[in-house]
Amino acid sequence: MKKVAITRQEQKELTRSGLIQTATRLFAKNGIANTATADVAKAQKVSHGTVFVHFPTREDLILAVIDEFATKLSQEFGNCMQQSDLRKLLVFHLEVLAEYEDFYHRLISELAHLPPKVQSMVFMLNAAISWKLYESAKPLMESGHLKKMSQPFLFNTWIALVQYHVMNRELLSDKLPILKEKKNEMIDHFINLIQTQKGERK
Amino acid sequence: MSAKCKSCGSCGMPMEKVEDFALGDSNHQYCQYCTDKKGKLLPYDKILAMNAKYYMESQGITADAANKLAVNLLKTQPAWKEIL
Ligand SMILES: [Zn+2]
Repeated sequence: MKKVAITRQEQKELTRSGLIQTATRLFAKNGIANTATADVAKAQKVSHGTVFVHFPTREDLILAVIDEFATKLSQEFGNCMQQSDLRKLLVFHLEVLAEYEDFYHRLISELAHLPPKVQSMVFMLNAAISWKLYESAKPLMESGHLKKMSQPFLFNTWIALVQYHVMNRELLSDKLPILKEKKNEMIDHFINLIQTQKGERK
Repeated sequence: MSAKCKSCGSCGMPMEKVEDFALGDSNHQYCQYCTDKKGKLLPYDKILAMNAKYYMESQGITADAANKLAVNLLKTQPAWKEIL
């Protein structure tokens, strides 16, 4: 009896993650606002009711996709925070975003028109990244290796660089994901911008 | 939010380590920031202000905009859905 319950739970989990995968693909391909939960049901060959059980609205589906890459990010960050290596942090950020770049491209292009909760979640995720970044940069600012700047300007300079490249990725790179192609250049450039002469010598 | 990873029923923060949970108890439904020393949920106004401040300090978001982001963040959370 107990075994059956576990199998059913596992089946539910499988369905759920399958729906998230399909939604990620459709959001990326057709746009987020252009994808309805019914489209996800059709592509996944399940009933609309099945989608509804897991994700009553499109908003819930979008949030689930964001949740997935947010979880990946925080796992990667958790692993690298012991040594609080700034470069590693930036590498992980770009690597996770590159994996979701097709979706991320749609997300930031459509953000102003997406449900308010989605906007709140995106800026909450960025808030967490901003804290990690500042946490690892602060000691280096105090030791004179990095230029002194405020937390918002440190983070906004970085995210502006990242998002501009993603927004215009077809123009700026022959190959996609652009965040994979330009990863090292972008990180080198950013570190160059924020470090002092003392930091350069190190 | 997701079935696998627990998140705070008040602010939505993902809770991974035991320290993230109220009272360091991984069965608790709320995070350490949303609760007092006894594990009781803080008043809505306090939690709203805390989240707004987080938006402001991390990204330079204005007070008004940060407040709106925080309101929309909390609106659909289990702890506040009923009362708002
Ligand atoms: Zn909380």
